[in-house]
Amino acid sequence: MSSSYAARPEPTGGAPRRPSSIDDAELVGRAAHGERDALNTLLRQHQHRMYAICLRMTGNEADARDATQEAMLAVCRGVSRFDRRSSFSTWVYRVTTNACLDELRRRARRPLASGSPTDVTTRVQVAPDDAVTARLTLDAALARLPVDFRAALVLRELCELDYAEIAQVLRIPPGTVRSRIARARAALSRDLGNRPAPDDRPTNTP
Amino acid sequence: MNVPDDLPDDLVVSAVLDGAATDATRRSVAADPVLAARLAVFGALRDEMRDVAASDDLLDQLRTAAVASFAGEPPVQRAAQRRPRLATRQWATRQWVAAAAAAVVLVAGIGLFTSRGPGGSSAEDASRSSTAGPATAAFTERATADVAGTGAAGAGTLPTAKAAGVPESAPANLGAVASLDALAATYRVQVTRNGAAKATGATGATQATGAPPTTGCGTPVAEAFLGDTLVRLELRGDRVDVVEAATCKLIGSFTP
Repeated sequence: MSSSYAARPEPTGGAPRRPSSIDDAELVGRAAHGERDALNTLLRQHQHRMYAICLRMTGNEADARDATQEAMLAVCRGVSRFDRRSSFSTWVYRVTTNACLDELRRRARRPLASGSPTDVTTRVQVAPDDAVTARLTLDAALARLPVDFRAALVLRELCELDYAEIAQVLRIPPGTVRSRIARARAALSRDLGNRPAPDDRPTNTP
Repeated sequence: MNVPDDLPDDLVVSAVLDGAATDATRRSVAADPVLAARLAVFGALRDEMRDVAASDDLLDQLRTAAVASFAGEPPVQRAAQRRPRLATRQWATRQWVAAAAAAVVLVAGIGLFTSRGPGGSSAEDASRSSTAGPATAAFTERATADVAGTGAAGAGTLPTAKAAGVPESAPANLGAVASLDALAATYRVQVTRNGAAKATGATGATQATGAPPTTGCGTPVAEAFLGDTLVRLELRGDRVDVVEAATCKLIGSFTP
């Protein structure tokens, strides 16, 4: 069985539902005291987002699986040290983002293998399904984005973090977050063929 | 991929999409066909990005494996994961202790060096003092000035080098003595050699620092003549009081 964010019932006009931080708070307390069930439940509540972040950040499923598992392990190890200065979900996204960045660094040291963005682009040409083609094309376009821009956009689109929260996760000013997200969207739309229309708006000047 | 520079329109549209724009901005974007189209493009991109198909089985497997891996880690292994941070902290502490120790040794060394002057160690000075000569006499004068200068800096009432019959050119260095023993030894040597003042005991011989005479003034660690005045050096915690022996009047004090 598989699930998709878009297919899930959403309480607020199609936006993905964010895990309840109230539930998280209780579970975090129990998990920090070594309750394995609480830890399991916490991870289950966040696992789809964690994987989605990893998939969009790494651009391929194999790396996304590795990064997701690393992130889950990091959550297990770090939950007892979680200081509650941010919401648990924000902390999880930070851990996951860092796991993805580590995975990308490891991949950069590896020789080019199947699953790399280049191969994704190549596979687009032979993929028979339009939906698959579109997804791979998006993955390839995302992979071509600089990682700083990609991370900001992914945290916004998939995790629904606001600019301040993304700034906290990435440790950059909120203004930089706003700029990176806008520029990343513009770059993606241009790369995917949605170039901005010529500026034919009427103006007040003759 | 080249990322375009900030485009004002894209910034505005992006802010509207993210719910970070004012109502007026939202209305102006909605009223502008170009910006509205751009908003639709960005919205479609968002929907596409969110369309992540993930196998529940796969995620359950990943989660189960992660939790099992964590739970299965023996305590030693978990401790080992924390060890680098702990070791770093301990190493940093050791570094501080070593730095502090090095600083103390450096200060003590400088103090000892300046208190001895060019003549070598206090023990060497003491042995050399038994053979009078021009060089030894010069050293004696300098050492006398050291002691007098120390007192002057401490309380301002101790006889100065000039008052003690020491040339004004002699250096006065309060912090130059590494320890009280070194000060007492240096003091005793110089006054004995100088002859302007003598270290005295009951028999008039040089007093050993470890067995000072005891009087009603207190227990001195040394006695000496400053000019014609017999004074006692009495230890008061970290401070050394210079007391006139006849009246027990405090002449001055200093901290070695």
